[in-house]
Amino acid sequence: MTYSNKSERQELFQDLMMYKEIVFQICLGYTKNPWDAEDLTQDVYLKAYRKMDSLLDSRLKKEWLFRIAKNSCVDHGRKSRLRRVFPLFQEVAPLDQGTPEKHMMRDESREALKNAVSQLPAKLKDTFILREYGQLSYHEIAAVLGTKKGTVMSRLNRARQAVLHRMKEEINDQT
Amino acid sequence: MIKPDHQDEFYSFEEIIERERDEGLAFFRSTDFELRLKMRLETDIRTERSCLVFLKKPVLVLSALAMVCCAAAVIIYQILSPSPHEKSVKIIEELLLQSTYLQEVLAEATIPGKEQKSIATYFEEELACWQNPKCRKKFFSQILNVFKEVRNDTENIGT
Repeated sequence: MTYSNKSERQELFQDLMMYKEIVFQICLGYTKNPWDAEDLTQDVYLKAYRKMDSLLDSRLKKEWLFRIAKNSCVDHGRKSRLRRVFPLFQEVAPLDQGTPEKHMMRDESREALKNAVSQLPAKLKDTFILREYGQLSYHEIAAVLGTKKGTVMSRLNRARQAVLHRMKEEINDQT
Repeated sequence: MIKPDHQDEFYSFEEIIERERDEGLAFFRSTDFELRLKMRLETDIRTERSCLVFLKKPVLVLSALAMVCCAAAVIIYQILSPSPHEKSVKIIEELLLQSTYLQEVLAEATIPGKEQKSIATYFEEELACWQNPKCRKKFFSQILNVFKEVRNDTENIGT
């Protein structure tokens, strides 16, 4: 399908903009800090605009957009690893005013979680991030990853167990 | 420090992610995401449009290609063509080769009172002044004279 008409393109793009926060959350899962996630979200939308003609069925626009987001994040991670300048963790300013001790504990837990997620095999990692950060349904994840719903469920289960196990290990190492 | 066995001090990953999502979202909403995206899109569209306008005009594309080809041809010619110095060296080499033949002719043309001179030696002597244009001119006129003499001598032998 080609969106040669300018108004058609704009209309579709406006529809896609409804999912910007979900795209941002997915990017946040992959990038580890909100600044990079925001930049990546911009890139995702630019790519979506350029590649609009590759969307064959407008009913699948949501899944199509999330697939672009997932692929962009994977590419970003690959490039960052190559450059070796990718900061492991950049803290976001906390919104609530808890005690310093609580903040420290939460930061350590978050770092442990980030490390655990980054160590997951690619397929488990994609499933975990799309579900936990993007909050996509099993059906949507299956469409984005081009797999079956049952596979998504089993991958998610394995990913959660692996993350929990690695987090506990890391926290035990610290204590 | 975090103690996993103390439930109230341990955050589950769902809790951590939820908090990260909330904080991330607050950050995201505070940015001028749409404005930045709009600007980037406009730049992108403008660039794309200018490229398309250029590509849609075959005359422009062909003339650009012709210019590129000409430039490439000039560069290749500059690289491949020998320098003036190399040309001069080649001429001298050829002249020196010819001199062997001329020497043989001169050896045969034994004219009384005429001093035989090795043209190769003559050339070698004069080569030193090759860099000077005036000297070069003189050098060529002298060579021409030698050739003329040789021709006259050989013609005289025939008579």
